[in-house]
Amino acid sequence: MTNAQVLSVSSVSHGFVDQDGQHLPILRDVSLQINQGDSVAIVGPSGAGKSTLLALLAGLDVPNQGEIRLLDQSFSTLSEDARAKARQGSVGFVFQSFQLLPGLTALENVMLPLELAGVSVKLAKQRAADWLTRVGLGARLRHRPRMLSGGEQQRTAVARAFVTDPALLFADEPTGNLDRRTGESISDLLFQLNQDTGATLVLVTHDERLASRCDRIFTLDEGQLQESTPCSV
Amino acid sequence: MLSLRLLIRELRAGQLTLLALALVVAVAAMTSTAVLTNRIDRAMVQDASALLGGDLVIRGDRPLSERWITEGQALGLETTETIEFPSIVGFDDRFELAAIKVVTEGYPLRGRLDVAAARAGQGIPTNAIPVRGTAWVDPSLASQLNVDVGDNVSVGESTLRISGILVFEPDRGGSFVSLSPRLMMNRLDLNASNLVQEGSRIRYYQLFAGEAADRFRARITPELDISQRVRGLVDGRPEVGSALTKATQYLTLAGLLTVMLSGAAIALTARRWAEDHIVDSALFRTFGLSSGAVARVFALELLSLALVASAVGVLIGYGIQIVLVDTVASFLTVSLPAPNAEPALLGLATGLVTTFGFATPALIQLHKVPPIRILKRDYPTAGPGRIVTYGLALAGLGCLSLLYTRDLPLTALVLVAVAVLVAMILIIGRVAIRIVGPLERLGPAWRFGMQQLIRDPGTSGGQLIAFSLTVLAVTMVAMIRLDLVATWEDQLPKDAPNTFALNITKADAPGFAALLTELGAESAPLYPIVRGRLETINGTVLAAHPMEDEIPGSVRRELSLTEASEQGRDNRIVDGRWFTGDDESGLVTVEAELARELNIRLGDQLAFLVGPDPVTATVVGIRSVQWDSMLPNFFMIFSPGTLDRFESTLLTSLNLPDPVAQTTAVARAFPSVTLLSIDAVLNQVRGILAKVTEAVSFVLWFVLAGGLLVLMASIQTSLPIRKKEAAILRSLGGSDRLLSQSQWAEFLVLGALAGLLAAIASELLGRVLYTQILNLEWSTFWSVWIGLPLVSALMIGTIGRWSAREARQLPPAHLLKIAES
Repeated sequence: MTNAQVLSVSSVSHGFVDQDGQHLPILRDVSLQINQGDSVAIVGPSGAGKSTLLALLAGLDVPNQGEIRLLDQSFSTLSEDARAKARQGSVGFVFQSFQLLPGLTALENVMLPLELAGVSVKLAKQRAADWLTRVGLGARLRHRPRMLSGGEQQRTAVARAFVTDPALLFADEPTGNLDRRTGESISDLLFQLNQDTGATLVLVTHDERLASRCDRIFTLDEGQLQESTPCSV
Repeated sequence: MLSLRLLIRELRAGQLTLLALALVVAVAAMTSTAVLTNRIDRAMVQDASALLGGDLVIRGDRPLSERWITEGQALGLETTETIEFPSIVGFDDRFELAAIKVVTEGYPLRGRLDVAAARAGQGIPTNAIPVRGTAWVDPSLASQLNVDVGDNVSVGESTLRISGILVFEPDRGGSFVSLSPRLMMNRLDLNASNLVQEGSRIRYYQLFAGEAADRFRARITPELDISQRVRGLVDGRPEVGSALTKATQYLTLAGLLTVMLSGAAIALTARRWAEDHIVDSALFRTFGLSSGAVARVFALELLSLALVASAVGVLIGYGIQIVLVDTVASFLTVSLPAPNAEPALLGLATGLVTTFGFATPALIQLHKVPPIRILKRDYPTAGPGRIVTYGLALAGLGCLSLLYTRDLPLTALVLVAVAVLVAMILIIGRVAIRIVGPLERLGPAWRFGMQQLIRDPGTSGGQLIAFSLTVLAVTMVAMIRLDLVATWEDQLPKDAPNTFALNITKADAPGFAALLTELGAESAPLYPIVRGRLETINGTVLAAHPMEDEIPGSVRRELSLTEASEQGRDNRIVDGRWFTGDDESGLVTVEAELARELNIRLGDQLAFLVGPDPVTATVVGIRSVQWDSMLPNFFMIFSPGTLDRFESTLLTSLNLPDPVAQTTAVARAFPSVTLLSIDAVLNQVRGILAKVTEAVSFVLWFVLAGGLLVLMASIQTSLPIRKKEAAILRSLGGSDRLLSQSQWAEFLVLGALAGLLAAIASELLGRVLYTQILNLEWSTFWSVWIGLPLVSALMIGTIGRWSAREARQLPPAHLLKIAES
């Protein structure tokens, strides 16, 4: 790989203290490096700590031990607000349950990250409409989430994730709430956009078919991360 | 800007409807209450001022010093003088003793005279006074002299043409000074009449009106001499003053209760709003917003909502009072003052304080949402603790109470009462929920219903507080309204005396009583009147006797002394006793307030001077007196026989069924008796009380609306979990009937418990409110203890089941989706 490194994880361990005061380890000495434009899948059984790892990678939480560097910044030492600022415009998210604001239309949902970043309403509206058209929802701009199918909601979420032109896109089980056919169309869309925009894609999934489309696959088992054989896209 | 867009989008989507509605109700209630109290109060003060002819009257036996008149004018007060004295008025060979009233331009400063163009004519309001060379006579004098408009009467050395019949004179009622029939003349005719001579019994009244009346009163009162008296609104007309005070207290109290209920609704809906936005908050953090920025987004959204909803509430509040005031405007004898901006500002302040007092915990919760919550649904999001939540709500309520009442002790009382009640309901409620637990044995529906209550004591405890406070507030407001109106009705019953009869000689008394019986008139006992001055208490002159303050005005002049064997129905012995048949002369009972001011105790020896003759008496009783009963009342009542040796005339009050015709009949039969009709005054006071009654009835609707919102908000808050549980139950084969019955069971029991707790709380709160604030007597309402749990169970059962219908009526497929989420 000749691309620049966008995410680096060094010797990260993480866990929780339960109600009885017992330490429950989730991740043990995890390390990985991800380069610009990579598509990376993290797979593993339920409860293996995939979502915890994704949260740490995206700076939503900080590890108990080790260092995570995202876009040349050490997230381990930054405050929560500083991490949020570092994410602004650089990181996009796609969630299993879409996480669209129910009171807002598809267009308004996609505009939201731009508005929060201080982009003018006019420009935000234009860019959001462009992105919704790009994901095939040009005719559904004024629809609220409950008026959209699951696939359409996830397409809206994908448009929202890409609208800020992020360097990195994190996806948590992006097809987990969708039927197989719809799931495939969403994964087609994600990989297409990954290629078109050059954004790095990090996804957590159970879906082996989805994982197999990634450049690299990591398996998380009993807190240990192992890289599997790369697959062809 | 983003906050505003979020607000518009969420309003459009209906997510903020209940929150906005709660705010609108709180603001509309407080604004209309404030405008009503502000506007009607000012109108009623003016109306009541009309009963004095001004806002302030200074009476003396010589004209008020020019210095004070100039000073009053410098304060922006309008002023005018009237002079009253008795004199003979003649027509042909008839002569009658009349109460002459000399008026100057501008009189009356408040209220209007009603003058008819002929004896049989209808009175028409006028702002004029008799022009020079003319006079107005009242129907009684016109009848006694048999004169009409156009006739000339002699008054002193002048001849005045009668130019009108004086049907109503606003400041005449209740005064014992001018009891003879009235002749009103212009000040410009006074010198020519030569009526004012050295030693004439003349009373000068200087009337003042304007904003600064109270300030002027405070300045002039300490400098008046013993012959001068000041009368203002409250002490001038106690029957109106006390009604005004109580009505204002009631309106403010009801307004505050509405705010408290709306506040509870806001707290509940804001909590739901916060819970709905937890994921949004986490999402915003993933988009790169700091926790402070997220809090700002939501705080600005709430602020915008508060401003918009408050503005709507203020407009509704003003609109409502226009409708309400217009419907009662006919009672007013003065024009209504225009509403000013103060209530609008108070309304806006209400909106902001209520929003942030009750919704800040929700904002704190949103501020604290960690970004990882977007990935992990079960990640805990801590809100503020209970102490902070209740503390903020109490602080908000305290601010509002202080804003509206400007009364720190009352505010403190409100806060302590609310805190105690909430704590009491919380503790007793928890125990009560455990006690009703065994009801689940009644069947599956009861089991599911009771499990809703028992499983989450925090939520059910919160609902119980909301429901109990709602039932309590509605009950208290309704109860106080009933009692206030009943008190006012008691104060002025339909058979209240409408005429005073004075100067009845002892020789005329039997014939007078017989005539009253013949006319079907009810009358109070005949009281002998002797004028006397209190000289010493236990041998000590008043000035040297230790007393609470300076010598009260009432004993600085001659008092009307009387004796009686029967206790008046509006007199109550608060210490000592009334006279018995075995008592001899030389005993006295004293009015309670005067006894307090003069530091008079049972067993004290009081010495009076009646003319040159001394009278002494021992105090055996202290009486509280209902001065506003329209019955004759006295500071000092002696045991029978004490005043026998003095010349006296008798006084009584009557209720004449047909006052206009019967007054003439009585006057003809007993020409020496002076009859004073107070029917017009009575009607005026009744009108004012009716208006106040309408106002207090109206605010009850606001309290009800606030209560309804609390119920709906409370159920809305629990709706997501109810939907989920309903989905699971139905997927496991639970029927609609089972769901419906379990909701019935749950809300019936919650309602009954809330009613019971409200009954307990009303016993505590009612006692404090009635005795400490409203000066009403409290008695336990057993019907409340029995009826409240029943009514509350039915009401909350019905509304609860209706509000939670969404959880039962969703299509099964939709329910399944919820269950999976």
